[in-house]
Amino acid sequence: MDVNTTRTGEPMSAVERVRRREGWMPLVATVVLAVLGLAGWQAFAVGRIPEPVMHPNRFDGVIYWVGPRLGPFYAKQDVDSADLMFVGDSRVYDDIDLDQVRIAGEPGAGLIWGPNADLSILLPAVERLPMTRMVVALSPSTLGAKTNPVMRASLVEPPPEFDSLSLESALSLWTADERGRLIDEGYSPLVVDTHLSRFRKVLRETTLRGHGSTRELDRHVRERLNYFRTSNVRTLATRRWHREWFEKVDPDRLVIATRNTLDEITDEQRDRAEATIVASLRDFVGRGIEVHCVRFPVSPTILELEREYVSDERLRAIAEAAGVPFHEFHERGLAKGETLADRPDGFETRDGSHLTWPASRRFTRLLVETIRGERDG
Amino acid sequence: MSFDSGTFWVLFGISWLLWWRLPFSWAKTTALCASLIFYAWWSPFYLPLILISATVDYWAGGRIHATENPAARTRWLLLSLATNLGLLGYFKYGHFALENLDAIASAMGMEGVNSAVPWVIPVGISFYTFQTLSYTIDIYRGRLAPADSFRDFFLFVAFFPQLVAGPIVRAQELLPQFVRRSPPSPWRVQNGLYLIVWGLFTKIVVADNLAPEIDRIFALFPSGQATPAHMWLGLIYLGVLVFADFAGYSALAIGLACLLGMRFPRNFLYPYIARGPQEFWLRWHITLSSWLRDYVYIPLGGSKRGEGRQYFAMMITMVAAGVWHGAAWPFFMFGVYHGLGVVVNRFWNLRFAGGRHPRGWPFDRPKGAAMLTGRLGKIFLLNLFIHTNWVFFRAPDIPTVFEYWHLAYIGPFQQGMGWEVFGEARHLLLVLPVVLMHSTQAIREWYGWRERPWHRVIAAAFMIVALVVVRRSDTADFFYFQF
Repeated sequence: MDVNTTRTGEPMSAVERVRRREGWMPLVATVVLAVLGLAGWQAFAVGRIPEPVMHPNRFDGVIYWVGPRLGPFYAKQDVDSADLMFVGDSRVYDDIDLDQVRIAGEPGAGLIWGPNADLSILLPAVERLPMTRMVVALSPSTLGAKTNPVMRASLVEPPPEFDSLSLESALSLWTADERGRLIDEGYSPLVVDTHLSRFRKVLRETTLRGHGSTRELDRHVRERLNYFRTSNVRTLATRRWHREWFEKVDPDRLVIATRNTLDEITDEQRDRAEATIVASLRDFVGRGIEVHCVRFPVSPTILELEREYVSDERLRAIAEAAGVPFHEFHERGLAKGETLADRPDGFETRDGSHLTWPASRRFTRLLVETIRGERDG
Repeated sequence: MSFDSGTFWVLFGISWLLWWRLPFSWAKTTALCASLIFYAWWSPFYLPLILISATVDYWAGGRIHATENPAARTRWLLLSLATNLGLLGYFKYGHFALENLDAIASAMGMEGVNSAVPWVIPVGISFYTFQTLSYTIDIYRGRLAPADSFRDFFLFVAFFPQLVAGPIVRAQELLPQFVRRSPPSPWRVQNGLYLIVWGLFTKIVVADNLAPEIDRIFALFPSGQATPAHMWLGLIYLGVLVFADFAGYSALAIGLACLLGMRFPRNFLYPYIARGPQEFWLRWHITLSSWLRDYVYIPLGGSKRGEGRQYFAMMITMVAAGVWHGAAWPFFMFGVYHGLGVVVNRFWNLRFAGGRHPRGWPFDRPKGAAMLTGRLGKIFLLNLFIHTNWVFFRAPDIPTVFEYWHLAYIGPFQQGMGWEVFGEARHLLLVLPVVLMHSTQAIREWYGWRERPWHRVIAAAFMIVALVVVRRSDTADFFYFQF
């Protein structure tokens, strides 16, 4: 066949002739260039990328839905068999690097946390777990904190047994509950089942893709109705990227939010929470669990702000009343004779309340050594 | 099953193999099966709806074509319109209507209606409804012959690359391609792969990374930490996000079709280099705007029945475009805003620009610096106009939109701009590729610059590297817990 004619024998246009002449060369060139680019990236760029401000979420552990009607608390690693447990608010999630805990010789460590977790709710919820040591993040923010509505519901109900569930079990539990609620609200069973079937699928897909990212779970729970209403324009699921490259340090970011949170807690709520926390801690100690209360590092601005609401002495008194050690990482010695001011890098926070990833690794190592008695707390 | 999921690529890989290996008739059947699996993956409960829509339209289309009686033809057309618009209205707008009835009843002190029933929107209903409507209307107008077989027609309705998010491919564009299989050519395969890479890049690298930042900016409202600079960054990010998201999906769909030897119409033509709202709609979601032009604007009179009637038709068409995107008042306002934009644009063109076509390209290449400056000025104004309007897409309600605009436009005079925010705005890096894409297209159009194969080679290699780097990342963004 003439190279300048088409299959049907018609003369080719100039564009078609050029396209035919090119053949597969553009594709080959693209692949070669991409491979070279990737090799170059690997060789020259990877090592020079600044360390991320936020730590990577490298623990694929199953999401734990604490229920029924209690949550969301979140767990990392196998909390059912963990020997060392870290319990508290989002500072526990951000500031504890479980890799460092493992490197420090503590392979059986787990982590349970909740957003603005109120320890007076969280501690009773985890009391059945089989840990032998527990680190509790004690701060003004966890003393009668403004909880999310679902967590608040537990205040009027007896604290349930902490029920660790797989994602599938949690979904079944949640959707069974949700189905009844929606039908009670007047939705037809067909509509409800359709909605929940799709919800389960979307949630399962996004959660698996997010390696158990609690963000995905929360987002879908919160936006479940809006999601379906706008599904025609939100076809592709969100995928995360090197977000940490774009994350920047802003020590004052959470000042206003923290003040708003602390403003909402009344003195009465704090008193009540304090009594519950002391009782829970005593209960843990009575059962032979080694408990450490820890004041996690925050920025000087947030620290001063928190002190306006709850004094350091009051936090210390809680630990003393429960008969457990209290570790303060702001001004007390980190190592023997070492102060925060001695450390040029300090404990840098990315938003005033949560440590940067590099700082969290240093802090985690210091904390583990401290609770093992290798350093002064 | 979305285009960026592994499941989809397994399904597509099997479909692609069968498409080229089997006889064309069998290939179409397997493509239809794959399309139904793809759709059922979202929810099998929606399958009957698309089947009903396709069956009614296939049947009505055949009957319209078979009879010469105008009254009978009109009856069959009305049946098709009632079925499609009824389904769309019930499932997409039913909840919205009931909610508003409920609000009105409550405001009048009457007992509210139950607005809690029809709130599940079948995936892609807006897209396939418009496709099937165009089929019967075109047959009614004598511009199209009915499909040869129900299978071909159903495949046209449910063809998976464009099923859930467009582009809106019309029957006269797609049905003829089901008659004979186009042989694969190196250029077509490479073009398809390039579009797929382009779509994945804009979606995964650009859009998905801007989305959390936009959430963060909107979350600054209640905390009182928002500055005008944040609002302006939000406008820029939102405009880029919406483009990257929609255009990325469309490019993926067109690329997938290319690999199957099919040709889909272009859906986005670098809309942010438009020089006015009218031209913007010739470049933005082209298949939707051309559908609305042919089936709403022109039937309403178009430009043939006087200036006033034209403005009315423009307004209605733009409002239809707004509510097509979603059943909510912000979408309605989105349409009104664009309607006013195109009306003013048209008015200006008629009075001061000699009634020129909104897009002069390729006949009015800029001559000299003054022309170029003028053109860039128009593009700047257009972007200001368009990006301001995207807030309707993201804000939960209309008061939030006005609050946003107030802070963006009045805020700098009241509290200062807060320029330092721009200095730390690393997400602007993600805006760069989109600016670059638009800039090269502008140069291409204005100066007749031809795209060379090596341009695509470099661009594709860069995007592949970016995508692979993305895949290597294993981080989660816990931006939502800012306590």
